[in-house]
Amino acid sequence: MQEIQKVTDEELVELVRTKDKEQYRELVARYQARLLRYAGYLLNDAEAAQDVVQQAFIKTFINLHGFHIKKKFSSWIYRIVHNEAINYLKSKKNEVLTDSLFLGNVVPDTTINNFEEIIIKKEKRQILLVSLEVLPIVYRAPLTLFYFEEKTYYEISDILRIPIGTVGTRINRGKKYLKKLYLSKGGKYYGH
Amino acid sequence: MATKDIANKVMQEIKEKHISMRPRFFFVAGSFLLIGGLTFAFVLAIFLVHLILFRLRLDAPFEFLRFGPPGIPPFFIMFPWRFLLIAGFAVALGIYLLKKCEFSYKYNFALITGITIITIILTGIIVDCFKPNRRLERLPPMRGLYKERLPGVNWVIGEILEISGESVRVQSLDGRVVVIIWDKSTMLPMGRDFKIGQNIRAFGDWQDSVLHAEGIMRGGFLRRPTLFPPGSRGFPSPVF
Repeated sequence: MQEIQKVTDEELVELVRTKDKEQYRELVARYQARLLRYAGYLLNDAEAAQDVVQQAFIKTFINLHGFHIKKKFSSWIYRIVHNEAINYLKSKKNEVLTDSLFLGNVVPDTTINNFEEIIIKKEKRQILLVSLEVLPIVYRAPLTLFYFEEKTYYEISDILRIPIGTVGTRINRGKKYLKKLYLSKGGKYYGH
Repeated sequence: MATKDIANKVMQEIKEKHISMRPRFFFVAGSFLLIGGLTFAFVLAIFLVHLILFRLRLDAPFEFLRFGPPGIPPFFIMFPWRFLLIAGFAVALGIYLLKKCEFSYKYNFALITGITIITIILTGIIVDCFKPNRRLERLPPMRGLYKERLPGVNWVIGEILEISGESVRVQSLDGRVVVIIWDKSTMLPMGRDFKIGQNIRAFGDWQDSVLHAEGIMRGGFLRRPTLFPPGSRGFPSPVF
């Protein structure tokens, strides 16, 4: 069990393809939390995110032989989840709004002790998260991938299939849009 | 809110619905089809650029515009629109398939499209300079494309066989022998100094095999642009 956890994603894919399909469980376990988080940010709906991610994992399994072993599995599976989320949004036509409780619980904050600071920071985070919910998906996706999933520009380019320059442009525009929304909802700007 | 264990659900669904992986050859075949489709689209487009240039030389539709507005209808009929349309579809197909390639999203796609179109046109022009029609028109499927002569609805293009007063006998490109007559109202933008063996084009009204010309001009066939000057060693002088 410990040995399988040391194996890289790409090696695990090859193992699933050629020897043991059961090991796909390990691949799913490695990615389910972060993909649920990403899908949650895109869809603003916990239930929908679960369905989308589950469907994405099934599609990934079906098309596993189409993955090039020299590429990054992480970028590939994020791409599949992204596409599934977009398809879901298109089928619903309007973006599903606000299950802010889901977003508020994604990243537990345990770094501060002062009660007043906790309240202020929680309010600020709620405003930010609510602003993110209404951001157009063209900006929401790269912002989420960069700030919350900690992906590089190169990885975001692979996931969203856009040039690296466009990644930078969308992140910058998204930040400006977010700042505007944040200020309009009563957030204070501390000059950072 | 607790997160459901997706791993178990996924593995259960895979087992219950007997979901299997697509075989490797499915993706290999897909790659081959993509490359094959791209190649076919671009080769077809390049060939059609050459064919369009050939037909423009042979039929010289732009020459009709020298007659002014009356020359517009024959221009539209003689222009190789269908080849242009098919070339456009071939380029569109090629660009659509190019978008499916792995590398295409990394670069500005408008730039890739522009470079592709320019490359196809330039390659078609270069291919045309080497006169591939001389070999291709011998092949039965290609003969029609090169030898086709559009019958003139109200015009004729041909070689002068006989000159007589204010009329000439002409053998048209489609093999008919017709008579062209003119009068004072006929447009003669290049004068009336005709010679036997000369190529002319005329438009007007037909009465049996006689064309009452509204406009006549000499020549009108364009020369092929060449990479090398005429008479260079190994390269005959430019003809069709």
